[in-house]
Amino acid sequence: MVDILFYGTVNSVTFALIAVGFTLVYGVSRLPNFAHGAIYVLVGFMTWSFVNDLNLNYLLAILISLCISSLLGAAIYRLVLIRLRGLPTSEIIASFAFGLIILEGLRLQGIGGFKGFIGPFYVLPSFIDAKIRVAGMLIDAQRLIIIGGGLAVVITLWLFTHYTKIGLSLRAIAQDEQAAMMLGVDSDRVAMISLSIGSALAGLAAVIILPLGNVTAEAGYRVLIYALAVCIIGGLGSWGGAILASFVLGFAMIVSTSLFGAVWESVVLVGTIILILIFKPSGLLGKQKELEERV
Amino acid sequence: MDESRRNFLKTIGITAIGAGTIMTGIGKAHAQAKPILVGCPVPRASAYGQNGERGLILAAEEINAAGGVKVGSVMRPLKLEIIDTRDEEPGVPTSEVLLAIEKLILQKKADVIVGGPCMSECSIAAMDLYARHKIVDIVSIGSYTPTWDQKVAKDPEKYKYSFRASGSVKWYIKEGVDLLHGIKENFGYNKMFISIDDSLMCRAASEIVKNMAVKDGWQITGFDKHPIAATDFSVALSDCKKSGAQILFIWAYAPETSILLRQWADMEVPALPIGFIGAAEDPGFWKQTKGKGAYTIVTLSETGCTPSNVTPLTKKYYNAFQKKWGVPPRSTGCVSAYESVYVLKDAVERAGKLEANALIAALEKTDLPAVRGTVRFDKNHQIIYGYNPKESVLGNWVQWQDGDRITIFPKEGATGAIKMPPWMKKS
Repeated sequence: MVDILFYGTVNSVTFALIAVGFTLVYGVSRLPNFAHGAIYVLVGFMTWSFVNDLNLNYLLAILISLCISSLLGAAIYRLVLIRLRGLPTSEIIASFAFGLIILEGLRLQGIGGFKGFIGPFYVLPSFIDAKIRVAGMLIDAQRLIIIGGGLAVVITLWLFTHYTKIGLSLRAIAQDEQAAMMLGVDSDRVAMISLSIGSALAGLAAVIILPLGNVTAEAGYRVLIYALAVCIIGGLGSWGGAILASFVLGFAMIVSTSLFGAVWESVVLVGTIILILIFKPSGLLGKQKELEERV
Repeated sequence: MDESRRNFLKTIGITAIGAGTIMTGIGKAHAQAKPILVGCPVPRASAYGQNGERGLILAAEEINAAGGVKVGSVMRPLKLEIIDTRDEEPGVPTSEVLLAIEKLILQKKADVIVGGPCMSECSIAAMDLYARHKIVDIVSIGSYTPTWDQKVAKDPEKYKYSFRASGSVKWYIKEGVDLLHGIKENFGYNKMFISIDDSLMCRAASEIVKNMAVKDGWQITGFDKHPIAATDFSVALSDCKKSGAQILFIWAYAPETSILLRQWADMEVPALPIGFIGAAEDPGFWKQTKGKGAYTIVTLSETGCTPSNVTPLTKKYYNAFQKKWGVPPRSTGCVSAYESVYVLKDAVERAGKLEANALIAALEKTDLPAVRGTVRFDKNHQIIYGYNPKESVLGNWVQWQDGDRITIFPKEGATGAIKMPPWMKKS
C-alpha cells in the first residue's frame, strides 16, 4: 500500500510536470503547442551534450538549455504561429511539424559529422545519488526531487501569475482576451511570453524527470500524448484541472498496473480520456459551456 | 667521371627504371583485379547494425591487407557496398528494407550479400528476394527467429541461397536454462520472477523459458509484461520483492530496460537479474546506470565480445576490434558479421569461383576455426551453436562486475564466477 501511494504520487507529479507547460500555453493563448514533447527531449539532449561534450557544470548546462528552450518557444510563436492564430488546425499542424523537425533532426546522421542521438546512451545525472528507507521501503532521492520539484513549479507559477505584472497579464488574456486588450495588454506579446514560459517548463520537466531514465528522441511523442491526455481530462486550459487529472491518471495507472499488469497502462490512459469525453466533455474542471451543453 | 663509373651508374639507372616499371605493373595488375562486390544491408541507426558494420569493415580490411581472396588463380580484393536498410527504426516498413537490398543486387550488382537485415521479419522476407535473384546471402547481424531455419527446411531447394551465421533464439534459451540450472545447483535457488517487454519475440521466448525452467524444478513466483518504452517498473519490482523470488529473469530489448535495472538497485530487490537484456549488452551500460547495473547477467550472444581464450582467434579479434574502433565489441553482430566475411573468403577459395551453386556447396561444407569457435552450418543452413568450440560456435553470458563484462557462462569461455549483490549475500 505504501509503495502504491509513493509511486502513485511520483507518477502523478511526473504527469503534472509534463503537462503544466502545455496547459499554460493553451490556457493563455489558446495555442496547442504540439512541439511540447520535442522541446522536452531537445532540452534533455542539449543538457547531456553540454555536460558530456563541453564539460560544462551540470547546473550551468541546465540553465543554458532552459534559456535556449525559452527562446525557441518565443521563436515558434514569432516565426510560425503568429501567422496562424485563430486557425486551430493550422496551429496544430504547424507546431507538430516544428516538433517533427526537432525530433527527426536529433536522429539524423551524417550531416557535418553529426552521429545522431540514437541508442540508450544518453543519461542525465541525478541531482543526489542517495536513497532513504521509509516505512520499510527504499526510496531514491531523485524521486523525492521530482515530488519537490513539481510542488515548487506549481507554487512558483501560482505566485508568478498572481503577483507579477507579466503573470497578471497572462491571466487577464486567459480570462478575457478582448477586455485585456482594451486595457492595454498586448495579446501577441503575452502569447509569445506564454510559449516561451511553456517551453521552459517543458525543459524543466525534462531535467527533473529524465535522470530517472534515458533521453531518447522517441520519448517526445510519448510526452506529447501524456500532456494532451492530462489536458483533455483536466479540461483544456484549466491549470487546476491539469493537476487533478495528473493525480487521477498517475494513480489509475499505478493501481491498474498493480492489479492487472503494466500492459494495461495505455488502455487506462485512453479509457480515461474516452470516459471523460463521454460524461464531461470539457474535462474535470473545464469551463467550455458549449461542450457541456452538448451532453 | 671515368667511362667504367659512368657505365656502372647507367646500368644501375636502367635496372632501377626497369624494376620500377615491373613493380608498377605488378601493382597495377593487383589494383586492377576486379574486386568481389559484397553487398551489405545494415540497419545503421541500431546498435546491432552499427556494430555489425564495424565487424564487416574490420574483416574486409584485414583480408585485403593480406592480399585479398584467391578466386581460382587470381587474388581479388573485397569491396563492401554498405546500404542503410533502416530496419529497427520505428515506422520503417519491410518493403523499404527489401527495396534497399534489391538496389544492392540490381543496381550495385553485388556478387554476394553479407550482413543484415537485423529484424527477423525483414531477413525472412529477403530470403525470397535472394531465391529470385539466385544470389548467396549470409545473414549475420541479429535475425534470431526460429522461423528463419524453419523456412529453409520447408523448401530447401528454393531457399538454398540463404545461410545464417548469426544465432537462433532457440539456442540462447537453452543456454539461459542451462545457466539457471547451474545457479540452482550452486546457490540452491529455485524461485524466479519473469519480466518481459510486451512483444511477440519476448512473449514466445519467456513462455519457452518458463516451461523449461518449471521442468527443471523452478517455481515461477510472478510475471510482469510491460509495454515497450515503459519507464517505471516500481510495481513489478515490488511484486518481485514480495514474491520471494531469487532470480529476476528478464527478456527485453528496449533501451528503457536500463531504467528497470537502476530501479532494481535503488529498491535493493533481492533477486539476481538475468536474461536477454538489450540495454545491458552495451559496454556503456555501466556508465549509463552509474554502476547500478552491477551484478546484472546478460547474454552477449557471441564469444569474442569479451576477452577470452575460447579459440586462438578470440582475443586476437577482441584486440583488433578495440584497436580499430576504440571501443570493445558490443554484442550481437560484432563477431558474427566479422566471421561471415571470413566464411565467405573460405568458401570462395574452396569453390574457386563466385558462381552461386559452387559457393553454396562450399558454404555447406564450411568447417572453419574462427572467433566464436568452429563455424559449421546444419542442413537448414543455420550456424551450429554448442558448448564445444571444436565443433560449434559458442555464446557468451557475462555479469557486470566493477565496470567490466565478465564472462561467466559457458564454462569454456568463462573468465570469472557469478557474484551476488550485497543485499543478497547471506549473513
